[in-house]
Amino acid sequence: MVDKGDVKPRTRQVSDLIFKYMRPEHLPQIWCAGCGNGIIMRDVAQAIENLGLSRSNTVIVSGIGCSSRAAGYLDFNTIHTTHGRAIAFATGIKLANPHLEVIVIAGDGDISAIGGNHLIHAARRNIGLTVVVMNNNIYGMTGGQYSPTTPTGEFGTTAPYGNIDRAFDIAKLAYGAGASYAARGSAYHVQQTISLIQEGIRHRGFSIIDVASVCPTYYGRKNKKGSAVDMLKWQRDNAVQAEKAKTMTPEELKGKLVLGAVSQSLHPEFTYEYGKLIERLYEEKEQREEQEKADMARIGKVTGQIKNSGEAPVSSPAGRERNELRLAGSGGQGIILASVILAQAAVLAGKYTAQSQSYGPEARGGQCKAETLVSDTPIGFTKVQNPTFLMCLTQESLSHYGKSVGPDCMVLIDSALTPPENLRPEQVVKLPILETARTKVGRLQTANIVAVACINTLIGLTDRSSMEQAVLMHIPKGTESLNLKAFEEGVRLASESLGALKGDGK
Amino acid sequence: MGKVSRLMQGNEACVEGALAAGMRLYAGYPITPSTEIAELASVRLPQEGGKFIQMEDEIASIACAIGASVAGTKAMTATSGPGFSLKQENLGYAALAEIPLVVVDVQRMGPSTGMPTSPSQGDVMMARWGTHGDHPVIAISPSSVMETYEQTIRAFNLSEKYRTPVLLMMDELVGHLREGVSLPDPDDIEIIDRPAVKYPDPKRLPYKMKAGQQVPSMAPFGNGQRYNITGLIHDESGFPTNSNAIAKELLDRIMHKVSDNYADIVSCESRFTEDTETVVFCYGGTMRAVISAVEQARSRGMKCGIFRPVTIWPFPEKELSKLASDPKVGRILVVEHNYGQMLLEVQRVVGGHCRVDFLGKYNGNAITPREITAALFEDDPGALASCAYTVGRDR
Ligand SMILES: Cc1ncc(C[n+]2csc(CCOP(=O)(O)OP(=O)(O)O)c2C)c(N)n1
Repeated sequence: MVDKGDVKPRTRQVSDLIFKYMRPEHLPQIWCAGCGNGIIMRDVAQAIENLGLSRSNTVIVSGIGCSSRAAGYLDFNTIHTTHGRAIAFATGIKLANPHLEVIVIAGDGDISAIGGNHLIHAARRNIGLTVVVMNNNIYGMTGGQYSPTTPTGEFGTTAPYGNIDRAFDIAKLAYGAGASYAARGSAYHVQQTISLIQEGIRHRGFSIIDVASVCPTYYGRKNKKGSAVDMLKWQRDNAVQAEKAKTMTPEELKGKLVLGAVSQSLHPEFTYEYGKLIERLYEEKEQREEQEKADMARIGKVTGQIKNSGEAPVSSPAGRERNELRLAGSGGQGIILASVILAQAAVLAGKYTAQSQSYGPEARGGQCKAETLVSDTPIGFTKVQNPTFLMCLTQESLSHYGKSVGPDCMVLIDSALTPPENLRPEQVVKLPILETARTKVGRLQTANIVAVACINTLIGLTDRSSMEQAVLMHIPKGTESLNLKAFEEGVRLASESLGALKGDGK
Repeated sequence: MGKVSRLMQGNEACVEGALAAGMRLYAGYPITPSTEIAELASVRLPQEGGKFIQMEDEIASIACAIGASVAGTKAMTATSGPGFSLKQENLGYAALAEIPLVVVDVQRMGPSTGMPTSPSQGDVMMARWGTHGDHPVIAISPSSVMETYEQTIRAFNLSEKYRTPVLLMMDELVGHLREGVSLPDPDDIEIIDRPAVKYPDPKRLPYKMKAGQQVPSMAPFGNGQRYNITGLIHDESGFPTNSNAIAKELLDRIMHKVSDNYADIVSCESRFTEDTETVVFCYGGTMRAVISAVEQARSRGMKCGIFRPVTIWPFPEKELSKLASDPKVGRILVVEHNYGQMLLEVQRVVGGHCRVDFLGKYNGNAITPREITAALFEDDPGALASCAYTVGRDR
């Protein structure tokens, strides 16, 4: 697609370029007499010609402004987007189809004011776009307001007393943001600018060529720069090549136009790297799928059966059972995971479920609350209204949520906690959940699994194998035996207390 | 519901639905409560040969998605209120340039940064009127995890079929909810692709249509067409025009391609409306509290039913106005998590045929069935302390 040969600018007749790369039916262009943009557009066309790019594979993206008119004149896939956003649109095009050669043509305000964020991030990302800036130091389209490249002290319609802002050096800005190719050309220096654009297109990665344009209509008139020819002559007389500039002092460089490549380096290109990622995942696909199957098989072996497609229950008013479970504790106790496991087991057992949790500051370190609804009939409201079961693992959460439960709600608390007075002793089940996890299982972090087993044993939410399978589906690999032990301990704890309860009753 | 196979979160269902619909690019910027969509897309897309990119902001995200769509890839971006505000300009671009695209807004409480993790439906009017100028809008609001999956697929299909951005207006209640879902067999899912250009058009009129066509065919960049796309008012050639006649023609067409296909696009649900005297109007996650409340109210003898737009835009005005003109129906109670947005639309459509009351909640908590029954029976004012309840045209 791209000619990898030497970059040798060959200037053709302009008329050849027009018929090959422009849309004559849309010409003449509307840029003002003396505007530098036409020269820069032709530089782009010439660079494309020299590189032999295919027209069908080349995309020109522009924002809004005088500069962006170029997208309408150039005969490629062209898209005239919104002010400042050309790079972001171009990023989507390039990412969707990396084979396309995507060139952005932008104004200085377009690319460095409203679109400045996109510029620095595309540079950082090193995505293979080529940006050509038609930098006229002014907002042309809106009639001469100062732009981020208007030098300090100069005038615009919104800088009537002289511009107080400092100006951006767009090429250096892009370089600072990580652009792997940044250069400056000018409307006067046609041959050099063509070469720079060619190099930019050939460069693998993000490239930007900041081209000094001339705007005699606004910038020139406001700042007494003379005619278009005078402005071009200024470019000729004040240009310094980048190589030479390195040997000059900042004083000497004041008011000079430094031309050439400001930076050039090689870094991995974004879409290429993403392609490699896709390839890697593709190669691992079979392995991944096999792993998933093996995981399920292992879970099945442990739990005696694999459940993954239980039939949904037909709603039967007879068996109307609805459990509203609220679990509370402090962040880090695995409360949310426990709530999710209960919901997962309900799904495996063919029941309806709704699970949610409180987020935000509550979820980080402080109090944490999660809710699981399990029902034989479809669930309307998805939050707990009248908890049928409350579990609290901290005193703080118990004081908070214990207050509001009804007399029929079973309240499971860790043995270390003191129940609030409003609770009847018969409704409270105290079990040493944390202690069991720490000493019997040997890992405090398994307290949530001990709790899940206790809950299921106490209220028979689902059959045991659904619950065990749910546990195995949600814990880190390699911790199966530890967590199954925690589950076993939980079952034992709760069964003993149930036995004790029954014994008392008799 | 057939086979229950998975426990899934609403945001996850959105990603899986999008993948099933053919999404192969996601561009986004993290924001609660939509973040899980970005996180899951970053895992799943490259596994399916697609691409995920975290852009520098929400403006860039929608721009990137539009760019990908122009290059022929089905694309999505997801956000929440503050980000949805930022996306508005480019949403209008996609509407005018007719670029298929799905934009998800998992609504949270505003205005401004508001209450980031709290449920709200405060963006439904922004969905309709947020971008400047007149433009067609298709917006869908799911009320369960399963429906999120199905409607995300439908959002892609509608956006491709009508070449217009489609908004999936989720809310925190559904986005963060986990439920059991049974995903259909991929072969049973209907997938619609944009009307394609098969051969390069020698006349190069990308927006010209064949007789009877309301939506122009679309060629991806790079297939040899070399045409122009712009956000300026344009003619059939895709180039800007200052012709007032063409401007009107273009706006008429993009508005009509949606309004003329009302029957294909609009979807709504009615429950218990055969005998109903009181209708509860709701949409999105609010539906869940309404179901519970209406079941309770019916068991207490009130003849009430539910009317729920699934596509909130276009608004299902035919169906609602039919219901409102049913002589049995004397009252409509609009329930939403905002200060009264869709209420305006209901009032407009009902136009005095029956009483329209309003129950809104905007304190960051979910409306409860008890609050709704209190408004239905008007017997427990204490229960309405954290809501706004107004009768008729009180407001
Ligand atoms: C969101 C938005 N803000 C403002 C404008 C108005 N506007 C159009 S072009 C432009 C500035 C153009 O200046 P520049 O990018 O330097 O390009 P030039 O016209 O000089 O080529 C502005 C402010 C707009 N179209 N969109």
